[in-house]
Amino acid sequence: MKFKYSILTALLALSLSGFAQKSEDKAVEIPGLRAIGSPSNPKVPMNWNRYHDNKQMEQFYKDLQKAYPNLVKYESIGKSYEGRDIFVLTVSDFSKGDVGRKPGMWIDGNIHANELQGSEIAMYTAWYLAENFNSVEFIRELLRDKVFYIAPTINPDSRDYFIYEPNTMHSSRTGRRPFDNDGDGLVAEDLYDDLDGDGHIVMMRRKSKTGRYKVDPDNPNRMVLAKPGEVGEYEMLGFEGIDNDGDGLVNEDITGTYDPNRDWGWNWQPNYVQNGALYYPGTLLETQAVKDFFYTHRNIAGAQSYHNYGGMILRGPGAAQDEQYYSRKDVQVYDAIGKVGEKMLPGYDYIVIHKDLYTVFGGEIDFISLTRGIFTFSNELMTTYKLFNEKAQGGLRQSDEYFEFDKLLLFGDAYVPWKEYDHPQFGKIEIGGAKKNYTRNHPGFLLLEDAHRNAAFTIYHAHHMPKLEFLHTEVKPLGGGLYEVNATVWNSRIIPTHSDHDVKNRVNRPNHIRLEGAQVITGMRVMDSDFNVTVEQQYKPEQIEIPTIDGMSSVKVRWIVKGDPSNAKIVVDSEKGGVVEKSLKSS
Amino acid sequence: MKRYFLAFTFLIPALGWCQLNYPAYKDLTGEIQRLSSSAHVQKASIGKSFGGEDIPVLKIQQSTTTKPTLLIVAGIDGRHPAGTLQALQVTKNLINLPQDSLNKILADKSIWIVPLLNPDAYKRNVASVAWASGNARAIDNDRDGRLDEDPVRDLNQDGVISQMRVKSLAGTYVNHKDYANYLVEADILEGETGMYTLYKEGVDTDKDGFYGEDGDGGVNIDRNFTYTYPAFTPESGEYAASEPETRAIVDFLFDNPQIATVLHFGLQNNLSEPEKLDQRKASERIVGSWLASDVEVSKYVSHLYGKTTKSLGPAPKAEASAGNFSSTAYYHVGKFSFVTPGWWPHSADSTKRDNKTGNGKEADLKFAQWVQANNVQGAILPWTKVNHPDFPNQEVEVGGIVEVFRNNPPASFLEAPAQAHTDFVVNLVKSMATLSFDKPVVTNLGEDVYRIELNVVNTGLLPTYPEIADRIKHVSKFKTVCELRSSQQFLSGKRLQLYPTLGAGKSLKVSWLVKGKGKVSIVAGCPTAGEKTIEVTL
Repeated sequence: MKFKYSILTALLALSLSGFAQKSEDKAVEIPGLRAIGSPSNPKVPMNWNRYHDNKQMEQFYKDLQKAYPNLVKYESIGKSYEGRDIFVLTVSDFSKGDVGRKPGMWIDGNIHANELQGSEIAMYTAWYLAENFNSVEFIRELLRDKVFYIAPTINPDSRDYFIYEPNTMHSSRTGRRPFDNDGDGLVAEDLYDDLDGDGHIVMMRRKSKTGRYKVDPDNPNRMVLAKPGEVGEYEMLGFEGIDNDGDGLVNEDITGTYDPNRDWGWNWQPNYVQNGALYYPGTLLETQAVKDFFYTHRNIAGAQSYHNYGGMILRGPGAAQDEQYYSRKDVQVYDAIGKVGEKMLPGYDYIVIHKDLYTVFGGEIDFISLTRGIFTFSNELMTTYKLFNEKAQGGLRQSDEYFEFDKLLLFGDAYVPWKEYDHPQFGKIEIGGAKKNYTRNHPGFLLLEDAHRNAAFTIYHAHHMPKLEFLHTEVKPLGGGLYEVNATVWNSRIIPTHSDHDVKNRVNRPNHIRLEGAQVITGMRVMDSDFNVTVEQQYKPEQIEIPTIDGMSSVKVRWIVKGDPSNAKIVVDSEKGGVVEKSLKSS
Repeated sequence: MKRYFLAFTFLIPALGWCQLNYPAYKDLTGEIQRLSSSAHVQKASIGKSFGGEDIPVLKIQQSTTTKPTLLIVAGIDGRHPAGTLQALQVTKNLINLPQDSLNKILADKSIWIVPLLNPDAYKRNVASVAWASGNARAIDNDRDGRLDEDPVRDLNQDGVISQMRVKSLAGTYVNHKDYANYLVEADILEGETGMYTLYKEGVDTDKDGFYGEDGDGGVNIDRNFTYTYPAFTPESGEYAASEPETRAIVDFLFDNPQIATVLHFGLQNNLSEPEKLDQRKASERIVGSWLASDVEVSKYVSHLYGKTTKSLGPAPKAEASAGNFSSTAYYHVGKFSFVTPGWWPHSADSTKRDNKTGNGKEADLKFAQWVQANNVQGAILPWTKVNHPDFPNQEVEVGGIVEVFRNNPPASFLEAPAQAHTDFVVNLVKSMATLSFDKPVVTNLGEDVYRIELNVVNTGLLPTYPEIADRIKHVSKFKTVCELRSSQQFLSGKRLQLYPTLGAGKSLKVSWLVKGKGKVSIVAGCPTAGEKTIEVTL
């Protein structure tokens, strides 16, 4: 019995490996080894419990492209300030259709360089799609119809700077281009200083009668506010550093206190209105490269831009005055997808940037959604909910859960204990606190789960980008060599080919429904076929212009042609809805 | 060279712009090159246009040492070539000032000129039938998904695009009583009824009811700037600062912090009438009015402008349009920013006849008067009949106003305005902030403790920089840097200290308490008003 089974297994393994040799794109899957949803034997083995620098990321792109040449292509779309490539992975079934005309889903991460995990989650998405293409029918169909453009980091300079140089969990939000941030005519002259040389930039505290902080008796790493009337023990002096330029301020001119996410071309405002803004939208090379990609890929119909943290599924607008550009109809589309997202991402809330977070002028989300008319979400990754699977007590920054989580599950890896230091300006101080990769970036074992949940949400989003299909076509002879051609086209998904905002402002060209190979006398849109309500199109009637095809809705067009059109075909050509065609032979 | 010119004069009448007598693009760039060979003038490039043309800057300066600088910019909106010609004429006039006057100006100031920010437009327009605004980018002006599908059409083949009138019962226009070939809206209050509908000369190729609305023309750089940028409007581009010309000039302003004041020869005007304070708008998060102290500066400069350009007659009002350069230079770049068309139609008797002329717009009337008074050829054309495919059974005529003449007179008309504006520029430069440093007062308090007191006075007639600039992070502020030796230490005061803008005639007192003997070096000032290094010995 035992013997029999082992032969069977050997035979199975043999036949599988032979099969794998024949088809390069297929990895060997043994059902009993496959944890449902994850490949048991991926062609590109990855550890999704860690972070990656630029070099490791590029190696991953190379490996994935090599393993799945028919599904993955990576290219540089431009250079960063320090000359690094900004890479985009194109993921689609290259053997089916014209990839550049399939509805496209844009995913980027790490625009704020300290927010590392957006990159890993974007990379995971590409990896998941490629590694499951052969096992999951849904993914196969998805990549037949759609294309993903995945830019794991659009701020590569600062990513490596964050990883390798002195930073806090909040610093290196910016890029690497130096600017004079304090108006003193000098550039980047007062950086953080790793005073004790331990490789971590943490907090400085000094014993003080008038200080308002004291040590939490339950957790020596934690500083808590003294109660009103209670004498404190310490004053907090900010992050590790000294006053390098003698202006009485510490770390006030670190490189680039600008914000790459305030550098975009919708409702851009200067830095006294919107902190972090530069000279004009697109001052940065990185922004320009991504913007250009959007204009050369007009098929992008959905977008996700990963940030951290707080557990949010954000939609625009960034500023209250732009509410006028979000019609009820467009909001319904966002709601339909966002509310499903809340279910897929426990602890994440679907909310609006300016109402529920803060006001942002010149943000990337507004550029993508309003300047380009693309349905866009931005997920704020990592939430304290993930620590103990419950909503935080006492708000995001007051809770002690991070300290408790560190003690119980990370065994003290997250904090540098307080130690004494002699500071040139502050005198005797103590240095200690949370490491830069704690609080905002996921701890390792939580990263994989959140990567999958977020990838699944973008896949759901991508699935609901428009899919255009012919519902009905017919040819009716009218006598005297004239024929009437009717076509009904419908969009079987939630997202329309054009948002309401797009239609009102003519952001993208209308959809074209074209009759090719027939002599068109006149063409029209049929508004109501029951009562013959039509709108004639005088200019180029062979190509009827349709402002939008809404989600789960259809449009009807009609042509009067001379001669039998049975050799003609109808082409539906939509920038964001793709191209489908149908020959009239079968009608 | 001579032969080339002859060849060109032969060509020009066919193109229709012989009456303007504006140089061909090649001759214009040649002229800019020639100017740069004068003493005190250097030419540099601030970038390239969308079409790959160089965008030059002429620097009138004594040396490459940076000094507080006035920047003159022209040729942003392609419909305003006269601004470019006038900027170049002003440049010439400045270079030709008596040597001692020029030397005196350049001793502590520089004047830079960007005469043609939008070279693509000039290059295209001067060899075309109409003067369009934008650069060389092909744009879908009517946002219908088709590029340039409805260009202007020179129906009567006279080499220029003028107006087109169609006799119609539904028309709202009539002939003006006093001026031949000039149409005005019928005055309903006077019981007049219209005779004509009025269009731009052209054909409605795409049958959308508009004539020639989507032709050559690109992005109008003067609608592509960030202040109140108008999204999704004709000629404004896909987003703010999408164009290389826009970015080039803003980068240039930030990269050269010594530029204190900007004068734009363009299609707006905040000089004939000063900026007005709107306290509510000035207090909003998105600032919508010049700030109070900057408005005072505007009043002074406007007064100066009125004095120096009085001979040119009253200038027409011109509202700041959305996304324009001059407003952006103030609100987003933090410069004193002034703009004038430089030339406007003015004829001696205009005020008298204004009142009687019924329903025409004032600016149009002044234009018609000027054309008639000066017998300007080619500006308002007689109507000629054409056959028009869009109006098969109607009487269609082409003629009337040739748009470009409204803001651009024949070249000879620019000489007097250029002289007046040269005077204005000279006075404006002389008014710019100048810092005067008193000798520092050092008081020995005993025990090697010294008090250093420094007094700085702005002796100019303008502040060091506008109040708004104090809010803009990347504008270099007024600062003092006091460098001690390692044996010295501050008892009071800091090495580096920033201060807000220093008003005209205002002074600033700074003091430090230092312990320890030896030399101390102090740098004080700001790029827009000059910086000075002062050594004191304790």
